[in-house]
Amino acid sequence: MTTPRRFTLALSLLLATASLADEKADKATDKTFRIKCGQCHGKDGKGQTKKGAPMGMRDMASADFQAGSDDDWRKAIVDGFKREKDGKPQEMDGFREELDDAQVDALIRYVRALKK
Amino acid sequence: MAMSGTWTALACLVVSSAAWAQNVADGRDVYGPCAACHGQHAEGGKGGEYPRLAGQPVSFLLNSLKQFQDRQRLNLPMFPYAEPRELSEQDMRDVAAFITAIELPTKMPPISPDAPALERLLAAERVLVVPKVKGDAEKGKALFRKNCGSCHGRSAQGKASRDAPRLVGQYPNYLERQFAAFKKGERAGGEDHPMNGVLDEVSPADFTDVLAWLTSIQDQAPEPEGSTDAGVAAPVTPPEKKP
Ligand code: HEC
Ligand code: HEC
Ligand code: HEC
Repeated sequence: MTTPRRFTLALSLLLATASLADEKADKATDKTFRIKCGQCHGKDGKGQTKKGAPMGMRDMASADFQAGSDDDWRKAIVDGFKREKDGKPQEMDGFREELDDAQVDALIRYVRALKK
Repeated sequence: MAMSGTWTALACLVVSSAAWAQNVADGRDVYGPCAACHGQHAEGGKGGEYPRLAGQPVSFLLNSLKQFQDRQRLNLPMFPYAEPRELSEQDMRDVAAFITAIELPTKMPPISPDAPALERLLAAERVLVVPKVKGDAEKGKALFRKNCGSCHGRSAQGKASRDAPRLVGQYPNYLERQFAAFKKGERAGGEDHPMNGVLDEVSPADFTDVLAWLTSIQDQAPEPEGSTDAGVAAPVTPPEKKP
């Protein structure tokens, strides 16, 4: 009786620390997104910001936006771009000096999770 | 049809550049009273009590003036000058057009020794070298490139697309005051302000290192946006791979 109980305790403790660590990582990614991406995409990813609206930004949660592959996204985040879409100039900075691979991956997961 | 389209575009261009020239000319008049504090060439004054304005992006200048007008950013000395009665929306656009175009070299430009004394004097007045700050410039550079470059520009020359001011060539004691104001929450209100949270993990010692770097590169040309420290070219649109 004691062994399984202790086991359960240990397990739930383990799970709790794991989810705590996850939560911490999520918080860090959330902050990175808000600071580095929010000025254009908005902290909610909807793109209805002073900078985003004139660039005709899609909502990151929309099916159309989510249709992009992880590789497309990685390229956009690392290299950035300057282009014209539907007659609107669009610009995104490249973050190769500001984000390491793990941070880029975490941001991609973060944006995927916005999917409706 | 195509022809008339081109003509319209061309006419627009001419009109808009003429309009811009008019903005700048009107802006020179609007700037008159500003010179008392910010200097004849918008070079700032009193060793940084009044910031340099020359060359700042239009969007940053407009945002600042609106913040002063709306009391979102406190600035007692400027209070009477930024009142809507004194400074209309049009005045703001004009004065911003005038200020953004001012270039301040860090060295005396080559001028013939035979040039009139006044011409040499005027050229010398524009030269602005801000005091150097002691600190770990390499550390400051690394911190800046990781946390600030995408908005302020890799070489801190400012970025209009982000409404972010140039920091290089600005008086370091002015920047220090702004750093303190951000940290205390006296400046940059609201969750949506781009600087919100950015300085949370930046200590005053870190910021001194950033200033050491900024003041060490003031006489250098800005590095291209797409490149990296490793020197590997990373153009915005990478060239197609050759077989
Ligand atoms: C200066 C403005 C700006 C900033 C800052 C910015 N983006 Fe973007 N981003 C854009 C624009 C504009 C688009 C195109 C949107 C559209 O077409 O709907 C875009 C598109 C994207 C895409 C889709 C790319 C594709 O191929 O479809 C992803 C993913 C993305 N951004 C992620 C990010 C992340 C993550 C950050 C922060 C690290 C960020 N963006 C910061 C402007 C910006
Ligand atoms: C009586 C002195 C005074 C006059 C006149 C004055 N300013 Fe200022 N201005 C200041 C001071 C002081 C600050 C810095 C406030 C602070 O420390 O936050 C400042 C800050 C600014 C800033 C923000 C710069 C930055 O980098 O943060 C702008 C833009 C500006 N002034 C524009 C103007 C314009 C345009 C005029 C004329 C219409 C003008 N000022 C007239 C004293 C003055
Ligand atoms: C998301 C974009 C963004 C990032 C990242 C960012 N800044 Fe800024 N910064 C701005 C904008 C926009 C302003 C102008 C604020 C205003 O108009 O009130 C500003 C203003 C400042 C000012 C005041 C300058 C003046 O003349 O008034 C300082 C100092 C500053 N930033 C330092 C930093 C440092 C140091 C970092 C990196 C640790 C950094 N910033 C990162 C966008 C950014």
